[in-house]
Amino acid sequence: MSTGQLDPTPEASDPGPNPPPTGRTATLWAQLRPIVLRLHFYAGILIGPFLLIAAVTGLLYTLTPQLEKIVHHHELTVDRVGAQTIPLGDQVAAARAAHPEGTITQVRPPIAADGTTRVVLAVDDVPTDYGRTVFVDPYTGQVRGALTTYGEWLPVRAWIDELHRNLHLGAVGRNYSELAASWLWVVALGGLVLWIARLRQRRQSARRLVVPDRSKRGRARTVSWHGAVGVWIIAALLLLSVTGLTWSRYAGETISELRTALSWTTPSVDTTLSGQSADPGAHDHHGSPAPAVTDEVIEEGVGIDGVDAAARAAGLQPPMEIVPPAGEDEAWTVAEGKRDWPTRYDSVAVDPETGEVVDRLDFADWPLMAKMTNWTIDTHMGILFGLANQIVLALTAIGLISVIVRGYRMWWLRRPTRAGGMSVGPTPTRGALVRMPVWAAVIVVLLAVVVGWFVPLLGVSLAGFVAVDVLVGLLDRRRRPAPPPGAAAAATATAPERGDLTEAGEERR
Amino acid sequence: MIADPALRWITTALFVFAGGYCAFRVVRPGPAVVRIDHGLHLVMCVAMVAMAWPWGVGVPPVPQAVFFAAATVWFLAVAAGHVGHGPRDGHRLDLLICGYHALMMAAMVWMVAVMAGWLPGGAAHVHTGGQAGTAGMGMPGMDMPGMDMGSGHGEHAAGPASPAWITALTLALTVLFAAAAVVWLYRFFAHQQQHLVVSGSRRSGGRAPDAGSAPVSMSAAPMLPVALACEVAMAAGMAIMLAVMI
Repeated sequence: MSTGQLDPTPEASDPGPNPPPTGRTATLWAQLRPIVLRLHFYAGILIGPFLLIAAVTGLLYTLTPQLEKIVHHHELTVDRVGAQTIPLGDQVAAARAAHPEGTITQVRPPIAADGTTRVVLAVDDVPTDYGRTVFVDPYTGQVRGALTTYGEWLPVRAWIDELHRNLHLGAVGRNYSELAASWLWVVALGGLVLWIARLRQRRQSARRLVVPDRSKRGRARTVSWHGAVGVWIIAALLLLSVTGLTWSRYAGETISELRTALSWTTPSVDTTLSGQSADPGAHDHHGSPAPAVTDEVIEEGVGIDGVDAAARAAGLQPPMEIVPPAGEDEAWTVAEGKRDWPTRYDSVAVDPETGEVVDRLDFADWPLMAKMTNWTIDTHMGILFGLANQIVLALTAIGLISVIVRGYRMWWLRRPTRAGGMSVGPTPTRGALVRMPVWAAVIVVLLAVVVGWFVPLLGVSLAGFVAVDVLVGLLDRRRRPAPPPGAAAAATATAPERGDLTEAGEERR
Repeated sequence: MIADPALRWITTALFVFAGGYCAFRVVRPGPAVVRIDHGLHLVMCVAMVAMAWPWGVGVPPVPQAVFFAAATVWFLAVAAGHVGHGPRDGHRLDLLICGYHALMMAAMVWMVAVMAGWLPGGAAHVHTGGQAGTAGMGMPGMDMPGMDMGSGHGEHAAGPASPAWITALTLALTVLFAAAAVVWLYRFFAHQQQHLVVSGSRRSGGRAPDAGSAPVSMSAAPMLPVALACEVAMAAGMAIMLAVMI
């Protein structure tokens, strides 16, 4: 079969957005295809800009680990690696001498021999959720600088991170990334199904699923690349979509509730010394703000050096964060945070008076789904598998950008070329849902309601789209000439003669 | 009131849509029976919207109960008019629909009774705290057990648990109206499909119209799909409102 036969020019015989179901193809898929296509098309067109922004900012984000090391090299590394580090308590004291403002929230000993110790402070003169990190040379006690940080992210990564999350628009800006994450899986899965069906319908080999047909020209070539590249990146897109939703404002709440209900939340050590059980969520070191303490606690009892020694004796190693006790009858928390593979998240609670480890939580004992949550989130952030992870994410972002741009190009190429003025391609025909089997239409609506409830921005945007579409359809119908009398009469004749909610009932009124 | 803001807005949207249609049918010329039917549903929609919001807890329960009890009787009386007719002229379906609407009005009475703590074993729920704007405006006996009288941020008012029989009946009504919403939805799509009319394709430009690309157009009863959608909205809204009481 020649290329021309397989994929003729769209104007001539491409079935386009909504090919008519023929007798042979009047299968369930033939009835489902219009709605899948309509969903893929409109979601692609309307959500495409948000996805494009997320892809571009995400691509930028993949560069941040290297960028951070270059931009903040002075703060992150020492000039000369000495023979012996000074006590951690002295390092903290040096940091506080230079920056007495705020309170200490955690201390992070250096990871590498040439690294600096980070003393993180909660201060008032930084944006919400940000802190000030003071970088101390562990050999000399020299303060190498202080930066405004977001968690452990230094300014350059924090800026790009925020750009990716909310475009620096605060809570309102989060809606953009939530919309993108909410629709990404819908667009991706819909596209995959359409692509497979298209190849099957045209009896093309399975190879074409992943290998673009470079022999094609024009729109057919664009479609081939759009579909094949989409398949290359679909697994990554689904992962990014799901993990992206965990950070989202509305769907994130649902996911948090689900995680809590299923005991998938990140566990934490019990820091209570009096024997009372601690609030399970009170010391979650992955997100909730660390407690504020006075500087005296650093030297009280065994001091921070004693705590550090106890944690290391218990087998913990940097990267780790040492969190002062929240108050009296509370223990220090030392938690590993090695986020690249093999990950380490063991944590201990250390008695400030005796230096005894009073509680221990090993990563091995975490619920599987809590581990999976950490792993998938760190994969999304390009951390879990280091450079390889960053490269895969960067390629995924580039692939997504190319798929989106090609999607718009496909639409553009379908525009009427003979009409004057600006014009765009045709859209899939309205009424796809109504053409489905009734039971299938009901299931689709119920599914949309359920998904819309758990992924609210998807639900709201879908409902908004449907409302606008119905209104446009009604206006469109008013503008169109009335249907042939025979057709209307035939349709009316099939209606049962019933009461209020029947054809006859309506006609009577 | 419904504590969850999203659910509150969804319920409001459903009943505003349904109420809008009912209002249209009330003012549109037609048989008195039909206008009364829709008038009763309009009041029901308004009451349901009020019930969802903090300001609605101030609506006195007794007039509501009396009104919806009367509405129940009305629909039962209309249903009785269809008893004894043969199945072929559509009376059986009318009987079913009138019976269903009577049940809907009875469910309103049920909700008001549960809210007010009138049922044996049921206790009135005192308004417990909340935002400044609503503090004090709640009437004792007007708080649904599962509905929040607080600030509307997800916290639930503390109150005595309802007896099992009240919960069971509320649950049964919830399931019933949820099922009704699905049935109405099915009827909506069945009707739409029945009335697909091929009127040519806008995008085929000169090509012969075909079934696949033709726009959908409705035949001579343009308000019927709206009526069916209205039923879907009312049934779904009732199910939500009952569900939050459980």
